[in-house]
Amino acid sequence: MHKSIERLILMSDADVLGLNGQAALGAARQPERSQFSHLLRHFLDRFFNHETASPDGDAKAHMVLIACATGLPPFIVAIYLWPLYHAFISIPRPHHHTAWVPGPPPYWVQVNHHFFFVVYSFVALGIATVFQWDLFFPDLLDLLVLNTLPIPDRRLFVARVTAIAVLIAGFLFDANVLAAAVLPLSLHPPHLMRFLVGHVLAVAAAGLFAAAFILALQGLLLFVFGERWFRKISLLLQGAILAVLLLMLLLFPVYSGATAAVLRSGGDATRWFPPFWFLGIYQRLMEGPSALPVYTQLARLGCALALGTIGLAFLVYPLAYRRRAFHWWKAQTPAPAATRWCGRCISCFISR
Amino acid sequence: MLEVHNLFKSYRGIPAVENVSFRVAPGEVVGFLGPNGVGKSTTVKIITGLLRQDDGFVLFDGRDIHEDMVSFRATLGYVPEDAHLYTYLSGLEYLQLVGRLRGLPEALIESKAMDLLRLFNLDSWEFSPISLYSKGMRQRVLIAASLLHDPKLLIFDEPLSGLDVVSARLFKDLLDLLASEGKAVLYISHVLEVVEQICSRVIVIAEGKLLADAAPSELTKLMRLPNLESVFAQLIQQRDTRNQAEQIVEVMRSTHA
Repeated sequence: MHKSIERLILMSDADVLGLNGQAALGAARQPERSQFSHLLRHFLDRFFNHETASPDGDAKAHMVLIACATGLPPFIVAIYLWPLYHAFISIPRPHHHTAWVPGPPPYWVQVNHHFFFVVYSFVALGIATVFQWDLFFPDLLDLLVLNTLPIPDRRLFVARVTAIAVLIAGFLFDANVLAAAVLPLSLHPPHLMRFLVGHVLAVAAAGLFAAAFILALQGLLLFVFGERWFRKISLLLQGAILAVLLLMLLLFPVYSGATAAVLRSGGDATRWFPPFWFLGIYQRLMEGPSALPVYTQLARLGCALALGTIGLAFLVYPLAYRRRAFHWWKAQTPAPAATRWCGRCISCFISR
Repeated sequence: MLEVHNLFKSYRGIPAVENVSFRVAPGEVVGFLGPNGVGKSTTVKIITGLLRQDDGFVLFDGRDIHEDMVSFRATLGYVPEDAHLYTYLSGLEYLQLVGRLRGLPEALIESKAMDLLRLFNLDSWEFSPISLYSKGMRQRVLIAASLLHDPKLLIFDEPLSGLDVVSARLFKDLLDLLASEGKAVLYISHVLEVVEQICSRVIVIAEGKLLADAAPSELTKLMRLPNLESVFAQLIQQRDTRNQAEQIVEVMRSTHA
């Protein structure tokens, strides 16, 4: 018998410890990790230990709840789609002699099904990014605790950027993995690999674009206007973005009715509504060269703008990080009475 | 040894610290005194590397601290004026976090953290989140965190704030022992009786300038005053506080605009 199985079956020689005995052993010792790894875990912990995510401080329970709340809706929709794509269910076809004809749903209905997952990924990542808004940049607490410890500034910065990347990747995975696993069974696509590549890339691009756009916007505002003005508009902006994202998801049944007409016309509406770009990627990769030309155009636009936005976020983030850190340094110092430039000019003039 | 040379810092052209120089040798507890807003905290923030001076330099063991800030911070234990802590962590978790970020081995962190929490009478609270701790308990967590890595230099900014009588007495004894262990201690406080008891030397600063740097007994002898409080009042030309207090009561009592 294999030794590992033997170990499971054989009785242990050690005594079974009571609860007091187990408590006396103390907490399980953590393995030795690098300073970077501890920093990364610390920043990730902080994402789930703020008032919005964890009002009563039970971060792990809230993480599980958030993961379920994010991952389940597309999973359930993917299961709901199963009967529509299987032959024993009939789809009502208007203007047909027989009221019920078996078969998969019409082309534009299928496109809308794909569209839903793109919109969902976009909205889920957007909302997650808005909720973590305040923790993407250093705050006073981090500055006062971490900056008195022997941690190089560059390591602090890289650990925070890595934590943001892990958070976004985690949400992206959580929001899409269950649906991606079930959809091939539900939709029964003719080219499985092409479908999977199209689906995964489109939802990933949609989610990354939403997260990068919000991060870049926040960074740009913080860098250009500074902390004082950013604080003033921050709450308003967060509310507006959240409202737009929720409307995008909740009104999906309404505007998805116009998908066919909008895409056929290839008008400006497709260029101003980002989920269309990623639907273009989805359909272009899934259908291959036979896809409608509008998908190719949208896919190109989607790729270019997603990469551009991610690039902008990477460019702006260090600048905004620096400005935020500088603000907290300044906040640590007293503000003298004559701080305005006119006041300083007058004092200079008088002292001469 | 900590050496501060001709430190100068201004905020938007207005000097906050002007030519401040002093030394803190190993085994010395140096009191750093001054009224509110005269540049004490600015000086401390410069020494801890939280602020950068405009001029002058800070040396530790003969090296400019800005040459290798990471190594300097590894030898520094700092208790800030306000208890900035991650309140979602328990006292034990906070000490573990600080110990890990300081690169201490896990086994050492575990034993030291548990022992320090026990010795600071926080063992029954070790698993409770800091958000439930009182001000004094938070202060004890900060003091424990500052001692975890056996630092060479300790800076305590109002460490007694919020501490009860027993903890304050424990802290005074602790300072005495730390000094005998060869630690250099810079102690910022407004409680002058304590400073007089535990500090081997006091530095008085006012309006960003150094006014005195001597042993408390020398100062009282030199200025022919009974205690450090009187010396301090004389040095900073304290206003007539009795008269000021009477005016406050007058304002409080007034019923007409």
